[in-house]
Amino acid sequence: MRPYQPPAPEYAFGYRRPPRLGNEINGLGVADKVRATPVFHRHGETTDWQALDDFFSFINPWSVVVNMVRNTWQLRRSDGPVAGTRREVDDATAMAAEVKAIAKQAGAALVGITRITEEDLYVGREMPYEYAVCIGLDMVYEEMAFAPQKRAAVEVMRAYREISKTAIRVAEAIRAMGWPAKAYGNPNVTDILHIPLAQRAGLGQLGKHGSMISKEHGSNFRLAAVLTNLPMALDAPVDIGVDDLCSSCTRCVIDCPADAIVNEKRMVRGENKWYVDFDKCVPYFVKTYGCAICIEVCPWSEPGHGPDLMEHLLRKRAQRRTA
Amino acid sequence: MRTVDSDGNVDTAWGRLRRDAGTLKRIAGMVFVYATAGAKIRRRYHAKLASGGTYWVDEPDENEFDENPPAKNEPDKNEPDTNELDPNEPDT
Repeated sequence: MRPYQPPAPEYAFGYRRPPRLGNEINGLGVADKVRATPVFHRHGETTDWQALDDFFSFINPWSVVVNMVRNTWQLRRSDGPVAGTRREVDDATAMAAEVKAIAKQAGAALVGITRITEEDLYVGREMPYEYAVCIGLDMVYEEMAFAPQKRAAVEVMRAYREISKTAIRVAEAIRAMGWPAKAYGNPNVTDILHIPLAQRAGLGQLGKHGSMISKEHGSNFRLAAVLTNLPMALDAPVDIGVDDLCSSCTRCVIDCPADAIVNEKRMVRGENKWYVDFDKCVPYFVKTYGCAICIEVCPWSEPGHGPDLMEHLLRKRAQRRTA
Repeated sequence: MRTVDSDGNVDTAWGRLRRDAGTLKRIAGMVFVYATAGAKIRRRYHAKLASGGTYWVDEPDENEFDENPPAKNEPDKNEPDTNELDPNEPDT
């Protein structure tokens, strides 16, 4: 049970002249495969929802801003000099294992590797890298239980700061091998879509609430990535039974104060997938400094529960098939 | 087209120094704006919150204080924090 009841979805802020619908910008209902357009959380460019994004930055508590500032400072090292002597890679599998070990040693809870495709980039971006090392870091569940209060927002930004540190260390280790690498750890400054990359890298599956679900941590984790050209063996997407759970579970749908989560998958940029209504979600997200109710009420997020849940779901699926 | 590659040359010590200086300048700007313009926005927003009005995010200059603003901003029932800038607040 959460320590506080979430506030009502009533807002003392708004647009006098509402921008283009966020769902439209996100490509809801678009059957063609097109690249995503930034809606929110951009740095160095203006989006249709910039005014609300700026407002969000200003009303955030100082304890959240401090973490953002510290993350910005450390992420100056996201890129750096590449060693002059390149270590040749004869065994991509061994190299992948080595990079994963570096990431784990640097604090990563989850690591996977995938190839970057055009759809992983926001529109207008070019990609000089071929691979993404996707990293996940779990958050402190007891702190996140305070969602949608300030305390959970602080924990989210602390996790981003920690995972950035991990990504920077991995990028530095790869550059020391003579290969270019860039760390992506700031949720507000990103050119890539972390979730599709992380799904293909085998970190988990997309849940009904629009966030990743991993076997070990449910949705109680954050993502970062290291982009590089270092040849490594790729991971495969996993099926841990998320669709089996989400198609019958309505916990996040019921608990979302803004009614932004629905029980059916939607067509988004050429893919039928779980989708959260941006235009309903984002005002509540702003009001509550990042909300996060949906990821914390997800039964998969309960610590230690995930592996058993996966086993149970896959066993039931197998039973259904043989029946 | 924007490349996702580095914005500047970080291969030299001078390049990294320039990068660090640029980051520091950006951070100083972020904190300054949060402490000045941000404080004004937070005050006006909390006044609207207390009075039941609406803070227009796309027209911040139109968000004048209400005629009879509360003596003290009343925070949300569930949110004890007033979000005022408090540099002494412990991190995490």
